[in-house]
Amino acid sequence: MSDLVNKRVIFPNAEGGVSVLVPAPNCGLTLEQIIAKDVPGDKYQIVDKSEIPSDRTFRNAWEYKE
Amino acid sequence: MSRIVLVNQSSTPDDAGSGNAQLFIEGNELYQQVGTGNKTKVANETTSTFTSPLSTPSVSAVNTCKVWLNYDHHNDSLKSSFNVSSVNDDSAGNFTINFATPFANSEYVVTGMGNGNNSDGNNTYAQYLKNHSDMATGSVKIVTQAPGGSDLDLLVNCIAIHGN
Repeated sequence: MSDLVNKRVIFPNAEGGVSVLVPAPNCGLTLEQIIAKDVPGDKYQIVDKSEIPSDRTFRNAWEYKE
Repeated sequence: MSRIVLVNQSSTPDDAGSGNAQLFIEGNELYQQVGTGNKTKVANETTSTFTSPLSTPSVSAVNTCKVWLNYDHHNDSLKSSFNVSSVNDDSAGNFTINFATPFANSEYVVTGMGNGNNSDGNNTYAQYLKNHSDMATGSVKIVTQAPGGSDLDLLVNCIAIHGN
């Protein structure tokens, strides 16, 4: 369960940008269950938290790529 | 264990009088009356009792907070939460709270307070619902802005949601 803390899920959102899902480690669900419930569509990638840029200056310019 | 038995009244009893109070049942409802004031209905205590501890991921308790979280959008970190499955960082100043257990309807109440990183020396940040149509039973979208009106990630987003 604690592994959820270091995981993120990225997916393209309806506004044309990319959303970064932050899972709640204490919700009682697995990451797969959270994805099935909270990620719209079937395009997503599970990444480590460290892979998300910490510089958010151009956050709205981020793009989702397969 | 002792008990108090209240007898059903066919009509409202006389006032308790100054400095006194009384409880009585009338028409299958429990009332209280203080001094010479009007009678008031007493809430049904059986419907306002915690039915499960908040330490478990349950939202079966009524009249209690169903969702709360402390979310750092600036560093994309969910510091603490209850009945939240995830938070989606959608864009600068925009995020979605996903509920682990959904509400029965979308007529819930969202309250929150937030603060930025203070680097601009201004604490008057705005936090509001993105759109009323974005209040879904399973999620809600929040927008936060800097004093000038531009969407901005807040360092602290403290949000509590009550509803059915």
